[in-house]
Order: sequence, then structure tokens, then C-alpha cells
Amino acid sequence: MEISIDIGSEQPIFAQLIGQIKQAVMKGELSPGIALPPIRQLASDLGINQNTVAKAYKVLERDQVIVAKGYKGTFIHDDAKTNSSIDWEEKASSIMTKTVGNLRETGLTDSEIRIAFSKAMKESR
Amino acid sequence: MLENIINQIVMNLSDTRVALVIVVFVSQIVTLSIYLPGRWLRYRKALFERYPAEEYPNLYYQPESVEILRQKIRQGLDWLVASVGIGLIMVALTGEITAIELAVTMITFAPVQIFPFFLSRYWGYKNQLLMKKSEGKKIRKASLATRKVKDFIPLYLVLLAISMYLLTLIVGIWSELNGETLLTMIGLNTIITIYSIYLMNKALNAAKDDQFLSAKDRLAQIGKRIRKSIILSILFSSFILSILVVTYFGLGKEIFLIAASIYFQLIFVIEVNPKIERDFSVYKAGS
Repeated sequence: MEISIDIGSEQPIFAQLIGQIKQAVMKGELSPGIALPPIRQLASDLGINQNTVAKAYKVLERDQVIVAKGYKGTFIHDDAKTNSSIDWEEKASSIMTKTVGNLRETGLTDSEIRIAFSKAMKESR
Repeated sequence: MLENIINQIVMNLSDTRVALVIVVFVSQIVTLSIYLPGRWLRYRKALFERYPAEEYPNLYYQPESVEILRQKIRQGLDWLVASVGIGLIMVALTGEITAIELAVTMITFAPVQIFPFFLSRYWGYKNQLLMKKSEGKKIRKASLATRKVKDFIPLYLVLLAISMYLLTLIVGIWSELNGETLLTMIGLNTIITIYSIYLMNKALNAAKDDQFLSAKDRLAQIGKRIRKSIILSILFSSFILSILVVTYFGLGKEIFLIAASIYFQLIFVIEVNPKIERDFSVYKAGS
């Protein structure tokens, strides 16, 4: 299984990596339990910064597409296929739309909602 | 006058130790200043002939004139060094010299001989920097398969390296040398062995020579680096072993210097081995 990135593309490199790994999982090219290359290996092969690969792996781990097992390495998650099909941005957008609608119904203005949102973002860090 | 010189040469050569050092010194000059530079030059020339810059623009980031100039500089330097080396041998042979003095000259001369190699390495490094700067390859590919050192190295080489290391320990203890000498030798060998293991692991994820390299050649490049590292360890263990034997039997210091020279030559024969058998089509325009 080969991965390819376009360093001239407008899409960030880490997003390209995430997209391709998810696609490979959905196509069945990467099955659960298969080991992924270490961050250093993938970064050196692609000639990119290790932090970029680390960022992609972090997002994939959060989305439960991959699972890090310490020194043993990083592996494809058991539920990777299902989790890869979830559009997290779409999900977040849907939750936010619902929340904003509820807040508006209580009579809050848009600026009050914005302030509350910023405050919540800061406090949750 | 001439008769005296001939007599002196015959006298020097009749001393087995001097003759032995001369054989190794000649071998050092031939290997480091004639044979290996010739191999490098043939490789560079063949590269330019088979893969011209017009068809393979991504292979060259400097004008051809720079490459030709570098080849001439390198050739001139190597011939100069070889001539100086032969001169040193002639001077030694025609005068009164001991085996140890000649051996010291031989070892002192080795760094001078390897200077042109470092010069070529520096040029190569500059070329790689230009390649990186150009970011010629926009689409980059990588395999998602994991790599392990054991995938690149035959078991017999690992066993040989371990056996050689253990042999130095056994011979060291058996030889009952004084503590300091023994510890230095074993310590040095341990450091080199650990360094070889470090090099092998580093080679697994070493930076690509360039982003055009095909996946197959990338793996071949890693394999070559790993094998070189383990061979370095085996050679160094052999070197230490020879020193232990020389010290144990109380042989002359020149034998130790001869072993060092042979070790040095072998390292360079392994290290300087450019091959043209790889996929150069990746450097074609628009590939």
C-alpha cells in the first residue's frame, strides 16, 4: 500500500495523509490490526517534517481509525472502517447548528452566543 | 652512486618487516589513490554518458562544466597524492629506515589520501542541497509497510558479527594482557559495535538521497546502509583481534600499523562503491 502527497496542493499535507489513510481503510487496503509505519519512517520517506505526520496520526487516533500501542507501534483500529466513514466536521457542524438554534430560541442574541462560544472554547482548553 | 642506491634498496628489502610494510604501503596507495578514485571517476563518466542532462534534468542541479571541472580536480589530486606516496616509498627505500618508521609514515599518509574522497562527498552534499531547494518533485510517494532491520540483513551476517565480538572477548581474557590494554581494546570494540547497531537503526529511517528515488531503490539504499554497518562491526572486531594477537605474541608495532592500514583500506573498498544499477527513469523530465 502506497501513499502519495502533493506538496504543491492547497490542501494541507497532514489532511492529505488523513484522507488517504481513511480511504485505504474504507477500501479494505488497510485492515484492522495492521501496523502503520513509525512517524520517522513516513516523514523521511515523504521528505516532510515529522510534526506533520505526528499531527495526522494524532487526528487519526482521536477519530479511532488508528490506535497507538506505545513502543509496539501504531495499528489500524478494530472499528477503523466504521470510524473512517464518519465525517467529524459534518458531525460538529450539525451539533453546533442544533445548539445555536436552541440558544436563539431562549432569546439570546447572536453576539451573546458568540461571546459564550468563545468563553466555552477558552475554558475547555 | 647508483650502485650504492641499489645496494641500499636491496638491503632494505631483505629485511622482511620493511618489505612487508612496503607491500602494504603500495597496496594502500593503489587502493586509496588509484583503484577507488578510478572506480568513482568511471561511475561519474558513465552516469553522464548514459543519462545526459538534456534527457534527465532532475539528476543534475549544476552545469555540466562544474561536474567536468570537479572530475579534473579530483583526478589531479588523486594522481598528486599517489605520486607523493610513491615518492615517500622511494625515499624510504633509498635511505636507512626501520620498519616502524616506514609504518608510521604509511599511517600518517592515509588521511592525506582520503582527503579527495571527502571533497567528493562535500560536492555530492552540495548537489543534494540544491536538489532539496528546488523541490522538483511535487508528488511524493511512500510505502505504508513497516520496516525492520531483520528484513534487510541475512542471519549469517548477524551471527558472524556476534561471534566476532565474542571472540575478541574470549581471546582478550585468554591472552592475559595487562588490564589497561585489554579494557581499551574491548571498550573500543564495544563502542564500535553499539555504534553499528545505532547506524543500522538510523539507516531504517534515514533521509532519502533525493525525492525522485523509486520505492524499490529506496529499500535497496536502506539495505545497503544496514549491511555496511554490520560489516563495519565485523571488520573492527577482526582489527581488534589482530591487535590482541600482535600484543600477545609481542610482535612489532609495525604489525599493528599494518593491520590498521588493511582495515582502513577495506572500509573504503566497502564504502566507496557507487552503482549505476538503479532506476534512473525517475529523473526524466515530467516523470
